[in-house]
Amino acid sequence: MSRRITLLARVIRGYLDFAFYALLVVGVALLVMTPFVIASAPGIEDADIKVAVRFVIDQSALAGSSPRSDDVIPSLVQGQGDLRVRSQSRLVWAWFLISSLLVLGVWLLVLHQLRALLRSVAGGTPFAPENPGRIKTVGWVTIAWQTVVPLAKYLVGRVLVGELAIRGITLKPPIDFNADALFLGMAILVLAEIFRQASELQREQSLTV
Amino acid sequence: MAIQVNLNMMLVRRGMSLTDLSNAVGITLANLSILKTGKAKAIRFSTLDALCRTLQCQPGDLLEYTAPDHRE
Repeated sequence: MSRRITLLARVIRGYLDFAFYALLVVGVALLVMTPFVIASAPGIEDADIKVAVRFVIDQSALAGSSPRSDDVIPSLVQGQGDLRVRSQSRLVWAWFLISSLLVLGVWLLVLHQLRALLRSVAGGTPFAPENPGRIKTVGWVTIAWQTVVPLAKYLVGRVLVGELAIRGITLKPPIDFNADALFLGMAILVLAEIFRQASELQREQSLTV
Repeated sequence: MAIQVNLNMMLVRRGMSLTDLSNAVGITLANLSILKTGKAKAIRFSTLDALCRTLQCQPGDLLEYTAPDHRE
């Protein structure tokens, strides 16, 4: 193992260590705060929740409200973007905080695996028997993340958007599956399999006299 | 594994210790220990050559095939 790669692994691990412990502190703070915020947090009504939406405008429902109804003027019929929803519902806030905790947990898991991986690379044993399992965990988390998170966002969006009523405008939360990230997750799983075979070869090599 | 390494028996016959063999053959004590305890996955021809030369024996004296059914 070249010294440059070892050094690079150590530097990256340093950054990951910092991110891991920073997230751990945030996670603990969030964990402590969650029950208080849900119970009775002062100023909760001042905070906004961002939610992605797709909207469709019903022109007939809005007829007459537009200052110019000339056919030549282009009219907005649909679009997508973010809404900042002000909600005082404790259920919504509980869901928001708990999902944030879950996201933090997933990040901590991935960072922990990457740190352990880089520790073994820096230690000169990249094909340690534990490493294929670590890479596989990262791959499955990537795939699960890209499946579960869009679904969770969609469900939260439905709850939040359901509370809104705007005449002539239909709001729908989008399901944003990221196919690129799914392929990335699969590529990581392939990499894990390559590492598993390399690890097996390494083991055989170490037991060849 | 059905292949057994009779290194221990050869060492007793030649009155050598594992450390002596390690020094004579130039193979680390750890590797010889792997071979002796039957944990080895493979053995290089060069290792076999060095062992046979030092212990003055044939490869067949060091390696023995035992059919799985008759092992016990």
